[in-house]
Amino acid sequence: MIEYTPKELEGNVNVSSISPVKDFFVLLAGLFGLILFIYILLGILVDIVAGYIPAKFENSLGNLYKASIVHQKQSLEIQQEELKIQKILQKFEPHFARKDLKFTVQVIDEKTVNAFAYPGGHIVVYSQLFNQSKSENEIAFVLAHELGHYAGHDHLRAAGRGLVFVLASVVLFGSDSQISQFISELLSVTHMKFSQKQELKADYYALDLLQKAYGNVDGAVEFMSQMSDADNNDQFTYFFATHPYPKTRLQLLKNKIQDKGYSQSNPSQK
Amino acid sequence: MLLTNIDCVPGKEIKQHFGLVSGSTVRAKHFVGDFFAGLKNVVGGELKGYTELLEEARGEAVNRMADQAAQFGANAIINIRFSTSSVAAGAAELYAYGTAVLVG
Amino acid sequence: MDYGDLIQIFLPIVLVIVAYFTGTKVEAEHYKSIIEREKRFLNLPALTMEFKSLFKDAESIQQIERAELVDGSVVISVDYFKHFVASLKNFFGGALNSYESLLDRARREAILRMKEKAPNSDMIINLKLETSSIGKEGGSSGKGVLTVEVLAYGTAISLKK
Repeated sequence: MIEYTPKELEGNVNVSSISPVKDFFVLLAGLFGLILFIYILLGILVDIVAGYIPAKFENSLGNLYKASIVHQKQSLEIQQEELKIQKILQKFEPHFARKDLKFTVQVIDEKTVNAFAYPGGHIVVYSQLFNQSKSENEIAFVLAHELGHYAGHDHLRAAGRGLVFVLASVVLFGSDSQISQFISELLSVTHMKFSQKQELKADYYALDLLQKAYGNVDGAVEFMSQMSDADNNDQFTYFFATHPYPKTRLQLLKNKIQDKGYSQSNPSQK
Repeated sequence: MLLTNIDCVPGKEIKQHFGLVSGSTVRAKHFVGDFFAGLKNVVGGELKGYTELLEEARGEAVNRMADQAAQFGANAIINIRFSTSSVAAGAAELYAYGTAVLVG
Repeated sequence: MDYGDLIQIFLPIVLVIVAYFTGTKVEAEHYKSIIEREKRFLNLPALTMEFKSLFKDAESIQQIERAELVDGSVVISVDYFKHFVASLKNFFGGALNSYESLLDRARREAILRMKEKAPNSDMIINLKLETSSIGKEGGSSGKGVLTVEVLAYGTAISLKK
């Protein structure tokens, strides 16, 4: 028989002494750094490419999208509204920088205030906008805002970034691991911030366009104050939204108007 | 430290034993390596990156086991066994255990 | 975007923080119990040595009063905090230190449970340990928190007094 010598071990070689908390923060910082790096790199790439995409390609992209939008039978009222919008667009045309786009307008009978633009110069406006707005200027502001997106090639950028991120995250992290879910959530937050910046840029562009075409920027403040009055959401919920908090947006518009010295016919307006 | 996976150290006599010693480590390859391994999976063949990783990890596990034996004052580990288990996607645990003995 | 989406983003963060404190506490208590029980069983060694090297001649085999198979097993899961750190580390590569204590605890617990089944024997020989990662969502497939099962088994030998 071999003799047994009982001894106790001191310490534990099988468990590292590195604090998991330190590990956690180091790794998290590394991950954020990596994401930021990829985001900035790809963002710059997409931005560069978006500026060079010819209008022809943009048009065919738009036509693809157009097919997915419901076409309604148009009532007389809606046709009149579309004509109204065409007229406003004609006023903007001499001041708009991109001559390569042909604009088409579609009014959809919907009960929410909304307007959006998609590649190829297609602008869609919901009819509720006409019921709510008191003047042509307000509609003009909304249109000018959408034109601002075209001027910045924003849809192409947004679509490009979206595509690149989906690709990158699937290639790097696989389609369904938990970490890739976490990363895509982080990315979407960063993306929202980018989108909010674009919205503000489009707002400022709209102010400039209004001033040039109408000689005043009345519609902007009127429209935004209506929007912010109608908005019941908390400021906090806008942290992750595509659009900035309406009250902040209104305030920024007012500041810009003062800075640039844009004229207003009714400055006492809220 | 003498390591064997048989019951004795040939040519030497076991004087006393100290019980079980073990070492373990969990390792993972970085995402670039995982990506290339994923590509290699399509065509099959040896995943060199993972072979290296597990080799290195097994070495570390043995070192840890030897550390424990040294603490006991042993100079050999006999009847060593290895086990590898996959604990997460792309990560593996290497475990080595044996009996620490004093030979002379 | 509403509060539902906010909850989706913040829930993992809250879980990680809560899991850190509960997980640390659970682990400290488990280690305390393991160390205390290991001291009690210090005179019952578990060996990987096989029968023939320990009992070479007929005389020593005659000393054996009893030999029986004993086993001990445990299923134990890592906390969400350590899981999160490990998933991050898995991405960058290297040693997944935060899983080490889980596996260490699991093995020591399984061996202790095995010893507790034969408290009056003198040694356990031919010890073997099996580790498998199990879990609701496939264990090793990447989703879900790591859960391991460790099985320890060997032959308990009691000698004539």
